Amino acid sequence: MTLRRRIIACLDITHGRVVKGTRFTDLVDAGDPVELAARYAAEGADEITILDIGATVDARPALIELIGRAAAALDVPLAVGGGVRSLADAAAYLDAGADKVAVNSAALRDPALVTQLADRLGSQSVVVALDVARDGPGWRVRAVAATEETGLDAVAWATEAVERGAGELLVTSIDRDGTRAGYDLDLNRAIAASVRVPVIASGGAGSADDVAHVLEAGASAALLASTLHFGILEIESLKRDLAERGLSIRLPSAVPTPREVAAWLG
Amino acid sequence: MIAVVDFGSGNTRSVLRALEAIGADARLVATAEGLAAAERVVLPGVGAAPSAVDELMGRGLWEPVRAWGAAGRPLLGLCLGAQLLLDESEEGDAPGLGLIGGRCRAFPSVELGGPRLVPHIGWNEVRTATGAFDAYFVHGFWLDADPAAVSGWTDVDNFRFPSLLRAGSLTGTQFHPEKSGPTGRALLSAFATGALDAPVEAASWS
Repeated sequence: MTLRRRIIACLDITHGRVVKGTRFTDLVDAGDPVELAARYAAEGADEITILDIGATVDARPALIELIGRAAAALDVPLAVGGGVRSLADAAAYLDAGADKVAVNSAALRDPALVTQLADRLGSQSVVVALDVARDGPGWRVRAVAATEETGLDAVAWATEAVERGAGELLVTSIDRDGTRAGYDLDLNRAIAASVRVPVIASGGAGSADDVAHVLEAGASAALLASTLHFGILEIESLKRDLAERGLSIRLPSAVPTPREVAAWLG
Repeated sequence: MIAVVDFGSGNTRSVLRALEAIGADARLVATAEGLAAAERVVLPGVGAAPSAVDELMGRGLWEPVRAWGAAGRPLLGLCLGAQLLLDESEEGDAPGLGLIGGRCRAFPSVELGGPRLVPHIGWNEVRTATGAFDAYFVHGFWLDADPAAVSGWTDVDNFRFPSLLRAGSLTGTQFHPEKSGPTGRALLSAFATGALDAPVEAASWS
């Protein structure tokens, strides 16, 4: 066996509540973040991502408090994004209990920030998130919650972000976000083939087929949000389905007793 | 009391929280006196080896932690904390505690048989002589340890590396039990309740 492909449950939050929309708009309330995060972890999520999509400076203390509560409720890794504008912001999220920090618009404004974060926090803690829209034969990156054109080619920016020290890339297809029409396979294939860090595919999950296809296209992890919040997919059965297709997946196992652990460890 | 060595490493609080969640009496300890009051010691760690060594030395913790392990008292090193148990690290030519023989090395390039994706991030299987379990990894360097101290292995692509070290009462995990779900918590419970306290035998590090 080798490295498992990850299923990541994503909670988009604003004002401390989980929301989910379509193509970054039309938000509806989907529940309490800590409760949902703990539920998804118990159901077998390999990792939890919390993205504060309404992140403002005023909302920062509430987000820090939320990260602390979520981290205390979780026994799997937690990534947090939204409103990371500086090394100090990123360090504050990690101090509060996040394992990784996702940076998006600020890295587009100042690519040197990625280098700075990687040097100080370690690449393993730095996820560069890209919101990407199809444009002719390729894809272009948008900033500020996908509202601002940057003109940057997605594969070129992904490559630069990794050169600057990104430990992972979170690639969201704006066209597919919340549509359940399937991940943008060509986009994920193109980026995964261009970098040697894990690619987390986001935007478009609607079925187990969709998830299988994007993992087969080269993504290391598939991120799911509304399909989980609205009960269209359930993590445990999804993971069994993926494992049956021959993908390397972490499946639930009986929890060993300390004595059994000691016997395993020798 | 379990002392979690506090030298400013990023996962210190996660480790403390996980130990508290399993009901252990765990405390952050930043002084040699604090260590002396402990029954067991956890050495956490993420990030770069040279700065961890500087922090441990700067806080006067390097020698007390080394002496603790050399005296055969229960010590659990996590990720970078496990790498520090070895003699040295290729990462910035950092020294190690020398409690287990070996050297911490960078993964070879993919052309030389190393993993395609580095750092090795995510869940992977740890196989021991008698069992296998999934655990969460995040690391760019691997434990090239004395084979006598290796009790678990992990494969990434075609590269196999030691992921679990055991020598006397020393345990080192390249993975993060504090992030490895219920199985990881069970491993921490095993350490906290003394199930991993083995009689100290003559090992390569003694």
